[in-house]
Amino acid sequence: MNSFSFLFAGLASVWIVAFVYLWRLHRQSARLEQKLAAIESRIDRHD
Amino acid sequence: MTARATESASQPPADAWRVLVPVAAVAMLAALWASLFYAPTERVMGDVQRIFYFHVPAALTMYVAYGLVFLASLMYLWKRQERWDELATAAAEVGTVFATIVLITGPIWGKPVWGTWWVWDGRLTSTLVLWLIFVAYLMLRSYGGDGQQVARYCAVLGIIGFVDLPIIHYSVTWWRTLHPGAVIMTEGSIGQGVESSMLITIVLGVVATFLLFALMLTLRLRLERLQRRAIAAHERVREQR
Repeated sequence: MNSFSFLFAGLASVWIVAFVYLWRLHRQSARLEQKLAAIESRIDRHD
Repeated sequence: MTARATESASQPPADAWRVLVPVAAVAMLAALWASLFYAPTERVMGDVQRIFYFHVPAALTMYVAYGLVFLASLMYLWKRQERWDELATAAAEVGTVFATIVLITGPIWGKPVWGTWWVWDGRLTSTLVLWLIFVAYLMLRSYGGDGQQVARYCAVLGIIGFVDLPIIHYSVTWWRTLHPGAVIMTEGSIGQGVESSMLITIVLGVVATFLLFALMLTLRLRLERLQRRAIAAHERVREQR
């Protein structure tokens, strides 16, 4: 491996870790919002 | 837990992330451009030294995140307000993301320069210990349940973890290490002896990484509040049955 390969690997790792984490946060929030809306409408119906 | 969770859930989730997404993306792209095309090639290490412009900002961000965990944990133990626990949880997770970036980029930079991926010197070992402390913290959060007792244990662990930060910072001064000492912020001066284009690139890297941190923290806080709202809603459903 030459200097450029290490540089590429280093920079790519920063972007991959950041992107995967942000994507995971976004997906989890979207799922939870949907789930929460369903539960809250159930509570409202009951009330 | 129910009363506290409901109280916290009444706060609207922060929407600052919508503004932060384009701002952080532009800043990160600008930092990437500067690190690849604006900063000159370092004479001894060559192109691989450009990892520095992300490795060091990630380490600084890690310090800020774990510093925030420390403050929020102290505030939680003092005031027992749920918002401090939420902030500590979010900052601990985001801090661990940046600690992971530091622990990945370091060895990738170290291999061509030192000839080895890893050495058990003061800086590297204390950083790994910090990462392990906060992995334990996150495991306690995930598997310890959602009671106030776990929040208290986590607050104590967050404070203990913070003690490792000065050890990491001064490890290059206290012990003879393979890891280099401070380059930009040396005693009594900032950026002295560093070429101006390199200094501008590192400042840009720090600003971009701090913005990325702010975005991640805002999103993680939003998720934390949604999770606590969901727990409170589940408990209400159970009470209605």
